[in-house]
Amino acid sequence: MIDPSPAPMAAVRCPACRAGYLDRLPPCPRCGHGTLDAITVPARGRVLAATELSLPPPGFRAPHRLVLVEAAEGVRLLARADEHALAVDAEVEIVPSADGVRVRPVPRSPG
Amino acid sequence: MTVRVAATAQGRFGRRPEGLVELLAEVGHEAVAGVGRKPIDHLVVGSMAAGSLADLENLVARTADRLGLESAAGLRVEAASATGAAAFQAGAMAVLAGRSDRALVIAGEKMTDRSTADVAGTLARSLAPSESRLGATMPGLAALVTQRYEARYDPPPGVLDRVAADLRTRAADNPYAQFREVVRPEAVAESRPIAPPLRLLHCSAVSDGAAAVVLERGTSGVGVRGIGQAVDTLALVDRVELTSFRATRLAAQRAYEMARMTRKEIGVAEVHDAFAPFALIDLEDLGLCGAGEAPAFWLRGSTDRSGSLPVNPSGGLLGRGHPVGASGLAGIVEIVRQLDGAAGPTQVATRPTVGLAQSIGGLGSHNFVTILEHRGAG
Repeated sequence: MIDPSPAPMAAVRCPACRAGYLDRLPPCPRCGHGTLDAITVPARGRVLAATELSLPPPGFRAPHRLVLVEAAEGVRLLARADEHALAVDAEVEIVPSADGVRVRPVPRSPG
Repeated sequence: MTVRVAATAQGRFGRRPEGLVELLAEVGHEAVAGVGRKPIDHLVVGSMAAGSLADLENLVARTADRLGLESAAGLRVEAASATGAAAFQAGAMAVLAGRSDRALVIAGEKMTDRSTADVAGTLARSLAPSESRLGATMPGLAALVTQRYEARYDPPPGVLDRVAADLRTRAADNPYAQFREVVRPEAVAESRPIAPPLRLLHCSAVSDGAAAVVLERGTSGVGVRGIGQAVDTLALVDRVELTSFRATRLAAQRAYEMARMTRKEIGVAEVHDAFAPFALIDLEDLGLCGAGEAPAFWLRGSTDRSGSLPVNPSGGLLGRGHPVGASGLAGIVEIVRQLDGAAGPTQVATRPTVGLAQSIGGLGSHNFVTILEHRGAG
């Protein structure tokens, strides 16, 4: 069964330098502008890097996968993943989960 | 006014039976003896996580008590894994400001009483909450940075194995180092994965240890020419650059400006190689190599003790061991001894006049650069 496409994500964007952040209070850490605008971005992104911790911290089980993802507007986030070996540049969906945000490969379109 | 390093002390790093205060006192005594027991009026103590790792707080009073410095003033300093460098800069500023005639700076950590998982959990407390709640660790985030570096610059295969093997092999000559064996790149490549592409021998180890210096006003011997530091966002994802640490670049710019020097004057460097790829990124952030050029620079042998720019002649964090609060000061001690021609078996081939020590706090969120110069006998 394929889950429905995840809902867009709340994010913020600097009106001055246009940098996007997932979770950030003003001021903008890059240009110092005093406000950040609320935006939404599609819950999709591209894998920038992915690794698997053989020694996760207490409370996490090995292998513990961490993925660095870039969504629209330059919004970057760290996420967990269930799939082994997500390649750099792979397209992923970003889904909230009880134990932190996760990513999964974008389902192939039917046909 | 100028500040000189009047004495240095370096304890052995590794698994030590002593507690934290004993480790701090050992190097404190040695450094004070190094100035002929002249009076100390200011004590700076650095420890990143004495509370979590050694069940101790109030470190200045504890250490002063042990050293017989009850009449001194003092401060404890913390800047994650750059604590030792931060403590040095705090001591230098006290002397520069005219508030201290002679300051003792001690930095140390006691880590091996705790399990590896406990230590990893403690170190992860220096990360952003958005990262640590996902189970991110220092090696995990360092692995992601390394992958971005590889994607951007496509360095020669195996360069990280060579960097780690070179640094660990240099430590074989260092009597204070935790690891004193010659390591071949093949052994690095065959060590177990920690967070791909990082393997065990690409990563620095949990360690106990301490280092100390005495700082005073004066112009002879090794002087403090430039100190610089900078912070960056706690969260890696909020940074402009993922393949470089802006906090190192800013700290270096500030230190070079204060010293009125350029990178060309640096003759030896100790950089923060908590993970082998950081040694390469550090060289680029310090302006000692162009962006993406550090791998080729390293593979040419330029960083060897006989190379054009010796880097981490001590073996660095990878070879010496990484007691997190101590490492930043241990790098400075190594540079002072190199400039004095007193580094013994780790002494570089041509004694340099100017040296630089760099230290990274957290995952590049609070970094320090210190520039030292030998100005001859006074």
